[in-house]
This record gives sequence, C-alpha cells and structure tokens, in this order.
Amino acid sequence: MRKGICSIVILLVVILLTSCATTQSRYSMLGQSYPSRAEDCKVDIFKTGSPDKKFIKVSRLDVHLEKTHFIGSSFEDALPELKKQACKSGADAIIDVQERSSMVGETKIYHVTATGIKYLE
Amino acid sequence: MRENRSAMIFPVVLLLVVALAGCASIPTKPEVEGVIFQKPADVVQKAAVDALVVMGFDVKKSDPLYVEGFRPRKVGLFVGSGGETVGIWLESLEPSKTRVRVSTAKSLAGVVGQKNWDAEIRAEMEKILGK
Repeated sequence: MRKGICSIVILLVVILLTSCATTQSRYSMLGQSYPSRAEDCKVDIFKTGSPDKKFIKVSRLDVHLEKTHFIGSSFEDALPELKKQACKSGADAIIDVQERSSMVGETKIYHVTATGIKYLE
Repeated sequence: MRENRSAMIFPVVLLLVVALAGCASIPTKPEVEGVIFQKPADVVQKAAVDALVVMGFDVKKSDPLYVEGFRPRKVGLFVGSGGETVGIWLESLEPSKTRVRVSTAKSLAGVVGQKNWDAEIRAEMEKILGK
C-alpha cells in the first residue's frame, strides 16, 4: 500500500517538475541579409513609436512563450530572446511591437512580433 | 501481491503515456473550398509559415505548396496542451490568386488539451496578407 502511494507521489512530483515552459523564437529577413551582430549586442527598444534617426526595416522577429499551470508571461520575459533574435538578424533596434495573449486549457500563451531595424546614419 | 501489482502498474502507465506522447497525427487535405487570397503563392506560403510561428507551431515542412507545423507538447497539472499537427495546402489558381486549405490533426495522447487551429491560422494569414 505504501509503495503505491509512493509511486503516485513520485508521479505527481515528476509532472509538477516537468511543468512545461516552452520558448520558440526566430527571425526572418524582410529583404537583403545583413551580418549578424554579437548575441548580446545593444538593441534599442521602441515599444511605441520609432527612432528619430533614419532607418530601414530589416527583419521580422517572433518570440513565443507558453507555460502550463496557469502561469503567464510578459514582454519582459520575452525581451532577452527578442534582443537575441534582433542581434542575429543584424538589427540595431526594435519597433512595431505587437503582443498577444491567449490560453489553451491551463497553458497560457504569449506571443510578441516585432520589426528589427537598421540605422542608416 | 496486490502491493507488487500496484507498484508495477504505475511504471507501465508512465511508459505508455511517454510512448503515446511521441506519436503525431498526419493532417489530411480537406475537401473544402478553402480561402482564396489575391496574392502569389510564394507570398501566401510565407504568410502560412508566419501564421504557424505566431500560433506556436514548429515548422516541420516548408514546401512551395505545402506547409506543416507541430505544436510542442506541454505537461500540465490537469490538462496539458500541444501535440497538434497542422497542414496548409496552397493551390496557385492564377499568378496572383492562391487557394489555401488548412487542416488540424489531433494526436491520440493528450487530445483533451488539443484544439482545432484552422480558423485562427486562416485569420492570422488574412491579417498578414491584409485581406
């Protein structure tokens, strides 16, 4: 009897520990390719508006976060990955940030799409 | 004896769950009219890929006239999610006219936490293509 209870407890602990949090991210170039920048490069974030400098749009950036157990995600959670993808695509800054949240069962979904830009001056 | 049996059942159930979790279903091309976009097939194909990414699918196939994505599985406390496979078929009707058909296949394991993504993917493609 004790063994059975133990097995159930272990199974529950395993399920809890493996509570999934997945992060998917990518960039796609909008036209011409640019050399990647260092993974931890400096990226300016314009959650609203755009920079005063002249720029061109170079990439589409997507970061998708899903967490089970009704745990939500925010822009701050996605930001490191968003910056990483911007650097990979050779972008200097991020504009046109679009966030969306939804839910499937107990999985909370957060997706952010943005545009990577390159300064011309 | 009963204790031994219950101790054996759980690993077997666990193995079965893990084994089933590896299975993915294959979507079948739906016999429906689909949606027609006034855009060339290559532009619509790119929008199909972007729509899958927005919905959290890993793009597994990205052919000129077929795109397929799989949603990674998530283990939940009560109901997990993921495990669906979506197929998007494109048909070039004219140089600037493309028909799109979408179909979601749910897998055997975790079907309770799965959903049909057809409408949301079509809506996202419409948003991207500005229909």
